[in-house]
Parts: sequence; structure tokens; C-alpha cells
Amino acid sequence: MSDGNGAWLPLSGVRVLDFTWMVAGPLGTRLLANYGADVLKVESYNRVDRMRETGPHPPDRPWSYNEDGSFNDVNLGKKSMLLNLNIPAGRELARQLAAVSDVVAANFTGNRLDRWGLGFDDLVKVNPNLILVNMPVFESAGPRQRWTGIGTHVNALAGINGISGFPDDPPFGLGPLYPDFSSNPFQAMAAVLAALIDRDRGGGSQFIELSQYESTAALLGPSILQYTTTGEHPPRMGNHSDRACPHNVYPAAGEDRWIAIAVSTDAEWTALCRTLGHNDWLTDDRFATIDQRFAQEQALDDAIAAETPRWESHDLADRLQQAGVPAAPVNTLPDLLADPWHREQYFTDLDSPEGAVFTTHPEPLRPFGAKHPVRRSPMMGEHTDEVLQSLLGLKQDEINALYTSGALG
Amino acid sequence: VSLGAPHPRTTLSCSNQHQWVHLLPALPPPLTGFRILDCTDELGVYATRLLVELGADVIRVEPPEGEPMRRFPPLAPDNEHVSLYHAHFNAGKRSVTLDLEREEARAYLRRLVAGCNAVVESGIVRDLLSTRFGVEWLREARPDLVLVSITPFGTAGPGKDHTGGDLVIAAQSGLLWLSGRPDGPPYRPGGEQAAHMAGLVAANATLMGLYDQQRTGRGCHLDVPANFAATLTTLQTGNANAYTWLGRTPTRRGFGMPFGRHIFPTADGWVAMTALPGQWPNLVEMLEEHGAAADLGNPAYLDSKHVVEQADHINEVIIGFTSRHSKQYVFHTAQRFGVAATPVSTTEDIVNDPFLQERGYLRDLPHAELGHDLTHPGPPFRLPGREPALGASAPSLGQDNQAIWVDELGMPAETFASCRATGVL
Repeated sequence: MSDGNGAWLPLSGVRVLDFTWMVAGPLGTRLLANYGADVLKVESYNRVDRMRETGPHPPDRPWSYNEDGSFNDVNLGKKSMLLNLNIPAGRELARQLAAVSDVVAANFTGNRLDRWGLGFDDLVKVNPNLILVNMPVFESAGPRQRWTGIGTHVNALAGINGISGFPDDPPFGLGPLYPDFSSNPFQAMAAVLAALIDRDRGGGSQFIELSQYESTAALLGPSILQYTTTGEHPPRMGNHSDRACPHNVYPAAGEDRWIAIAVSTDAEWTALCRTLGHNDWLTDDRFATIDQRFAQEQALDDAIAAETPRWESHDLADRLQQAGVPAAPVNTLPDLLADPWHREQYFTDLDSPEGAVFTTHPEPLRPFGAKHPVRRSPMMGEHTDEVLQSLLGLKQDEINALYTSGALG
Repeated sequence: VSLGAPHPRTTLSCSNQHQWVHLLPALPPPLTGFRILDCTDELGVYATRLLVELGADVIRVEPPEGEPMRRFPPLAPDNEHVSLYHAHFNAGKRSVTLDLEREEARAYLRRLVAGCNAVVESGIVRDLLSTRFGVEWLREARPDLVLVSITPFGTAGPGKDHTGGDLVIAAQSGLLWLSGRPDGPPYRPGGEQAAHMAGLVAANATLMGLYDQQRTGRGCHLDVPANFAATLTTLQTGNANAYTWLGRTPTRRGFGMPFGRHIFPTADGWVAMTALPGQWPNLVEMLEEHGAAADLGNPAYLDSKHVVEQADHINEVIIGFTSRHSKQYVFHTAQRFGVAATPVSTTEDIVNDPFLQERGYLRDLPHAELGHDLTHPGPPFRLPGREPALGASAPSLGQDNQAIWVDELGMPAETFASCRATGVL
């Protein structure tokens, strides 16, 4: 399917009732929205999505829930409707919306949906083909259902810290809240998409539990196989590799500037030596074979690190790439924004209805090799009336009465 | 080849989805019957691995001598010809051999593509199957083909001919710069996470393509630049706006995290622990219960500015508590009091975690070449009422040649024999 402008929208016609908040859930449903799904984000002034308050906020502008720089990144293309689930009328509307949705997504702690009568068992009665995904840190039910954590904790729990960084350092883990942008949104949506495919051929309803612990531990690579067969912990290797050498980041000209170089083959090694002006390394017995280079890794790293500060990281990376050596500058976000290709292709500027300009990004997926368009994130409750009219057939006076009763707040 | 045939609709009585472990398997996994041709290297191999978890029939095409990944460390301790890396990323897949360097291979490849719903490929652009054989040629073989191409830097733009694996992509994407001490070199996330991100995005791309294929009969070609996928983590939702609006750049923070120091030493390792917004009183209550709160009960600490100013003192008080107990004790106690905490798990901790054991997370799957089981991490999601998707670890080289070429694609037995003799298969 595509829209009139040729955008690839395979999920047009799919409706998602989205109770998720923060990052991992909303980034997942954002993928669905960006490729055509009608995603209804359920919001309430009783429990504002913290991403509307997280910041950054555009400078010199009045405070607004609608101009948060984080919220407006993770909720592209969605609709927002107000529903107060603490009162029965709000929950009844949620049930009616679930009945006309294909997917319900949630990342509440514990069995909140069940206690509201909006759990899978309740909703499947009104929608026998429903797909419901829940994304707890540990489990949807059981003793750990209310246990909390954010990306840093999931990273630590699932073992990413244990295989990252330098062996002599504490297990700092990663700077970013990595699982929020990787394992959790994308594995949850993979399961949702597969369930949708199967539903369309008669597979029926599906409850999906994405335990963030289990989902993230699935990204450890062969660590678990290695430990269970050898009894040895996979080493923390910094920037080294067990199948390429030299393989590291080296200092480049300037403060805190680095270049990544990864050499797997003899041809790449030869090209590296020539590019760095060190044909002598090619005849140095210490570095003659890949095995010797591994054995002399420290000496090799020191030798390379003595040369690389003479170069700008971008300049050296370009020269190495032209010579066939895998290399890249260790970019910062400002570097990406300053690069014309990346700025144009990997980012999008969107106007907020209240006047701010957001820098956001399309999904990292280019249908037919082209940049994919995205639509802005919704203002708080922007689509409440429209959704109730178009999906539930409510008249404006009925909607007004619901506002008065507090069901839409 | 009959593919994607609907399986009989079963009305699953699921009175309580949380009791799913006790249900008898009722339905095959959701992608049962969908066939994926897997032409990925380490950059994209997780994409097809994830599709296996959903029940897809993933066929890995290898040169007759075997793919390079079969030699990647770590190696099995009892057989140095078996790569645990290969075993992990190819569990549940099937293997066929085909010498794509030979002209005769084209016809066989065409048959194979015709029988697949999707081709997922990865590598540098010039080496991709779709570059060597042509997108149009693949489309002719299968008009509604879902073609997903994972490359280091995309198929267009100034980096399209550049080469690089996980380290180089993590560096280019801005991901690598973010981890480490502020005063030390940055490091890449362990476990090749830039490649994992590319695989995660590509799996979703494939699934959206399959959804469209089933519904409209249309094919597609989806380009997944791995550096773009990894950039998602660099951006961390608000970072681009923080820079364009305020000139703020994320920095490497070592112990520091958005809500303060994030890891603390215990008697036997480390815990990650944070009083998230609203959890400060819980933290204080936990410390008081252990006689370790010092002055943190002072209401002045309810002001987050004061907390930031007193960070060193607070950390010292918390370490006074954590360092006296085991990481499991701190983890369970903190969660009981409503403070976000987890152990910093070693691989051993994960393997021995009673929580995962009770949920049956680790799976022992037979590895044909080793002749015994290997312990694999479990599925990343739970699909109650579905049969397990994986029955085996990674395939032996070409173990499915007979089944796929002869039994499923109808190659005459004589042709099969001669292809094997000449080394085409």
C-alpha cells in the first residue's frame, strides 16, 4: 500500500490502541505509525506521559506539554486521545476502542490492565482477533510483576554491562539506555507483526509478553553458549575483537577525537600500513601474520596510536576507506548533524502547531532506497473528539458530556 | 511449492494468559509456512535469527566450503571445527550449499528464490546478492518478493561503497562515542550491538513486507543502513533537539546516569540501582530499615537540586549499605521497597538465575555436528498458546540439500547427484 505521494505504508488500515508510555513502548508503536498504522495514544492528565516533561524544551518559549523534544521524537504519526481509566466511563470507552482495534500495546507495571478489566482475557471477549502486547521489565504476572527499572537496569540485568567496556574498569555498561532503542521496541513489534500476519490467515488472537530482561538477554550473542560449554566468562574486550586485529579506536587530531579501524584480512593490513606511511611494518616479523598481530596486539595498538594523532579522524577514515580498510571517525551527534548527507537523509525537521521546530528522524529503514516521510507527534488529547466521532459514532453533545463527567481528562 | 498456507483455526481457550506455561501447545508459531532465503553475514544475521523465533523457515545459502561464520570464535571446546558464534546466530535455520561463482548456479538460485517469500541479505553493497544478480532478476524469479538489504552505510550516499563491521558502524553512527569514562577512550557496546540493531530493524522491515505481500500481493525492496539503525541509540529521543536548541551534547559519564550514579559495589559484584522519580522515600525507608540511612531522611533531600549538590555524600551512604550485602540481596531488597534495582549480571548469573529457570528461558537444543545439546538463550518474547519455534541448534553445512533441492523444489535425483559431483551444490 502507499499513500498518494508514493510512500510505502504497508500497515495502512491497522489500528493500534496504545497505552504505552516513556520510550521502549512508544518507539515500537512509532514504527507501526510511521509505516501506516493508525495509532491511538491514550493519555490522561492524571498520568501524563513523562516524556512530555522530560525535556529538552525549546528555549524562550512558554511551558507546554506539546513541545517536549523527547516526546515529539518518539510519538511521530500517532493520534492522542484523552481517557481517564480511573473511572468506569473511561474504561468503557477504552473497551469499545479495543473492540475496533487490531492491536493493543501496553507497558504498565504489573497487572494494571487486568485490574481495570482491560486485560487480554477481558478484551478478547469484545475482540476475538485481538493482539495484545505487554512489555514488563520482568513478567506480566507473578511475584516480580511490579518490579521496576529503566534501560540502565535492563542493560545490567541482561548482561550487556558484563560484556562491555575495559576489563579493569567497573562494569559501567553503556552511556545510552540501550534496550529502550533496540531489543524491547523492535522485538515486541516483530512479535506483533508476525501475529498480525497470522491473524489475517485465521491464526486468531494472541497475547504477547515481552519481558525486557529476556528480550535484552537475547542480544548477548554467543555468550551463553560460551559459558555453558567452557565455563569461561566471555571477556570484556573494550574495542578489541576475537576475529580481527588491529581492531580498536585510536586517538585522532583534536580533543576527544578518535578513529575506529578494524582489520580482518592481510590485504586490509597491507593497505593500513601503506596509508599510515609504514611500509616497514609490512616487513616487521612481529606483524607478519594475523596470529602474530594478535600476539602483539598491544605493541601494534601503540604503534598505530602513535601515528593517528597526525590526522583528522574524518580525513584518515576517508583515506583508509579508499584504500579498502574498514574505518570510520568516532562521530558525535553534532558530527552527524553537520554532515550534509546525514542531515538530509537521517533527520527531519517538523513544525509543531504551537510554533517550535523539532529535529527528529525517520525510521532507519528506507523503502526502495529513499527517505521515508514522517508526520509530527500529536498534541495532548488533540484527536479525542475526532476518534470518538469516527470510531465510536459519538455525537458532539455526548462527547461534551463525557468531558464533563471526567472520562476524557 | 506451497507456502504460507493457513493452518486450521483453533479457538484457544485461554482463561488466564498468565498460566500459559501450563497450556498444551495449540498452534504452530505465527510465521509457520513463510520461507526466508538468508544471505546475511554477521551484520544482518540476527534479523533472520529473530524470524526463526517467530516460526519462519529460514534457509541459509552457503558456498560449498561453508560460510566464513562457521570459523568465527568462540569455538566449541570439544570440536574446534564448530563455532559457537555460528551455532548461536543460526539456530533453527536450514542450510543449503550453492556455488554462486558458477554460471550453472543461476538457475538453481532462481528456483530457490521463487520458493521463498523473502530474501534477506547483508554485507557491503558490491557483495550483495541483489548487486551481483540484480534486483530485477530476483523480482522476475518471484514477483512479490520481499527483498531486504542490510548494508553498513546504506545503498546510496557518499558512504555506500565504504566497508565496515560492528566496530566501524558503531563509531560512524555516534553510538560508540557515548560509552566509557569521561577521561578515557570510548568503547563499543559488547556483543556487537550495532549489528544487532541493524538486524532488529531488518526483521521488522521483513515482517512489514510480508504483511503487505500477503495482503496485496506486492513485493518491495527495503534498504536498512546499519549505521542509521545504530543512530537510534545515539539520538536517545531528545538528543538532537538538545543540541539544536541548547547546544547540549551527550557525554560519556562513567558512573553517572540521568538520575545519578547508577552502579554500586556489593560484597560480591555490582548492582545497578536508582531512585527513579518518586522512589526517593522508598530508598530512604530501605536504608533506614538497615540502619544505614545516615541523614538521608532529612526532608531537604526531597528537593532534587539538593540531591544533585549532595551526590557524593549520597553515593557514599548508599555504598555503605550496598557493600555490606550480596548483589542478590540488594537487588531483591530494593525491589521489595520499590526502588529500581538489578544485579549487574555476569553470564553465569544469567545461566543460573532461578527466575529464568522457572520460566524455562534457556533451551537445550541438539547440535548435529557436535552430537550433543547446546544451551541457547530463550525466545525474546512469549507467545502463549504457540508451539516452540526452535527444535535444533545450527545446521551442519548443507544438511538440508536433499530435502530442499529434491524433495521440496523437485530437482530430479540425477541432476542433484551430478550437481553434487561437479561441486555446484
